[in-house]
Amino acid sequence: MFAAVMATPLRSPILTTPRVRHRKSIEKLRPDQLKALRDGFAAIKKLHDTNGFWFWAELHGAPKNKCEHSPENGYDNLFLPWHRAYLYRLELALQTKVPAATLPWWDWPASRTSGGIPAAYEDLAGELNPLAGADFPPRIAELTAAEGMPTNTWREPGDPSRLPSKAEVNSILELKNFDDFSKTLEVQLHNRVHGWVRGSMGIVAIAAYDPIFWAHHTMVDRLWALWQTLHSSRGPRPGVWKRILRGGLDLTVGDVLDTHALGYDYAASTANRVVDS
Amino acid sequence: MERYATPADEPFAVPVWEGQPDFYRADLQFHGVGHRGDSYEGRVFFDAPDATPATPLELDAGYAGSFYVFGHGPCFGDEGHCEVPPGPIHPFDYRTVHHLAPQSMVVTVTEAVKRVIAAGKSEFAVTVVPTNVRDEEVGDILHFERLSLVTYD
Repeated sequence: MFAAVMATPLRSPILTTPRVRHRKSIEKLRPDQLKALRDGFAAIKKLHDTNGFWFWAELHGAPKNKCEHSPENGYDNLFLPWHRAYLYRLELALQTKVPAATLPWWDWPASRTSGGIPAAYEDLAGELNPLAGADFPPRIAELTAAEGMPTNTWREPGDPSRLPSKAEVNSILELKNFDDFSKTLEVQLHNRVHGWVRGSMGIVAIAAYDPIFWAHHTMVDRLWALWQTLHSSRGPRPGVWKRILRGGLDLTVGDVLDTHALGYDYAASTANRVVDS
Repeated sequence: MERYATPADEPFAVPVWEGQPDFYRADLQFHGVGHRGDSYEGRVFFDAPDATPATPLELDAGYAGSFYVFGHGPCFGDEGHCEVPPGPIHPFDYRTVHHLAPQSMVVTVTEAVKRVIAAGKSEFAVTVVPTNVRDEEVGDILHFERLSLVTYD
């Protein structure tokens, strides 16, 4: 037995851990990657179980209202950890149906000059684009209809020049204190982009039903990952690492501090060569 | 409220006094901010009581910065769903904080405050103009309980 084990060729320990996937800018997805994303969203929209799109969308706002945004007191802000876990769970649902699907990030500064809403999230001529919008579940549709609103997601974007600039993003990345960084990122950039898209994205209760919500929050998560690298810091103080992220995400703050532990990283580009040795 | 303006008899005193080191950062902190209704931008101006959404977003025009509120929209729930209950009512009351519990907003206004000081003023007034993404002033959406000016040296 021992000899058999010893005879097993040595393998890199990394092969025993989940592969790290790279989330990329929506503008830089290859056609096959964009297709995987679209196929993934199309697949989970058909589900009504814990991999279903509605299951996750309704957790953020109506009817479950479990999302974390910055508290009045200004400290122990779980906005970033909660949304990282939230993205992770939806990405797992996507990958359960389409293994190659990864969540892309919406490069807000790039969209200032490329027309605003990324083309991948716009309607397609003569073809259904699952990223262009979504129906609300019946009980939410009843409520929106009662308010004179559509029964599916809608957008009313502003002038693209009002999206955050590269300089604004960089100035926030320079903030050294995590609570300061998190609060400023949330209020000055995250909230602003929600209000810029307007429509259902501008309403906390129904924002997560719009597929672009997930690209928007992946950008927010990316900025936290960049901040962690720039400042050699996880962010939240250790006293909150054991806190459970609510709403059935089944993860603690400590679980989501390292994107590699969750099996992903952010990249501008990647290149791979398969080596047969 | 429609918009906020510092009461005429309660302007903010400039945060300087003899012997004080120069501050490197000044924040306007809005406490108890409500977030019902639509999302909006709160544009903050100093000594510009007549500011409108058309006022340039430049220091010369009194613009000091903005905060952005992600609004909850109308009430999507049963009767009482959007009434904020009192805080924990028991030591093991681990229920989620109500989704409409007030928030706080911070606007860093360092350059605007330094400009007031450079102009030789001893006090200044704050005006907040709630504006939507179409550059329209939004009525009856701005709600907060307290405004603080905090400097760091």
